[in-house]
Amino acid sequence: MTSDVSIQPAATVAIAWPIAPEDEARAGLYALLSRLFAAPPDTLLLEAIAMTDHWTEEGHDPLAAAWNRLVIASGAMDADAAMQEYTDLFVGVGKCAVNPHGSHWIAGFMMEKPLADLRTTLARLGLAREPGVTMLEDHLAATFETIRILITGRGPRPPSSTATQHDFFAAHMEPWVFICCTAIEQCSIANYYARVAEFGTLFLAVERDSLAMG
Amino acid sequence: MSKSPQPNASASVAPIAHSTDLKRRRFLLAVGVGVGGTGAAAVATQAMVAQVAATAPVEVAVEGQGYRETEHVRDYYATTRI
Repeated sequence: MTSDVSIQPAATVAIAWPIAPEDEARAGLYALLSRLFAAPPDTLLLEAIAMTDHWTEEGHDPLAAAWNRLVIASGAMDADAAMQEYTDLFVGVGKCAVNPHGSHWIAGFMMEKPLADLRTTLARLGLAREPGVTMLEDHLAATFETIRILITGRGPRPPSSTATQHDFFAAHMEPWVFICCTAIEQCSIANYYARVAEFGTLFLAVERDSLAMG
Repeated sequence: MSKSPQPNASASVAPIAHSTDLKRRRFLLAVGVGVGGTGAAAVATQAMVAQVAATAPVEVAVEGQGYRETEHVRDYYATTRI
């Protein structure tokens, strides 16, 4: 019975809900930023970014220019240096150069009311941390992952409306993500992540403006 | 909410939600997200595969009998990756 072994696991881990190509692109960019802020890029990821096409910079498009700088930086960066930079920038209690948690930037301390407010919103949206995950919900990576799930839906969960995405962005991202990304960009020890944060800031500005359109 | 429409808005037959969404989509296309973003999205797909195994910070809370990606399932998916 050789036919028994021909059953392959599904190639994707979730049902893909049909969304507009622009929203797919937004979700992809959030996924990439989330991944880069969750952990340093490995060699495969750096190579994958480095091999993507450059965006055309018609009329000195700052978002395209920032993306192209990130592509070039990814080609010049190696995984060991990325890990060292990530550790120096984001890891270490009270020692990290730039704190990637929203509560720190809004309230001045970690795990303060802004995190509680975020958890209330997440509960209302039917979202929660995975069991065993220690990353706080107001980490840059977790925040980007949350809005990505709102855009794409996941499993049995359908995509959320633009209004819901806007409300989440306005309440839990806009108050701090720009300050945080600017701090990363300007941090003296930031090299590769200065390029990540630069692109992140510009993309988030596009998001702020487009979601405000309704 | 049963307000009558504005007198001079009769020419616009498209629902407001539709027209504003179109405006948003045009804006995204104009700034390059959607066209330039496709390459990034392809990379991100790869990144997401890694992220599923690495962190996956948030997920849909269990409600009823819906799908849930537990650590056990995630470990299984990790074994299916090259």
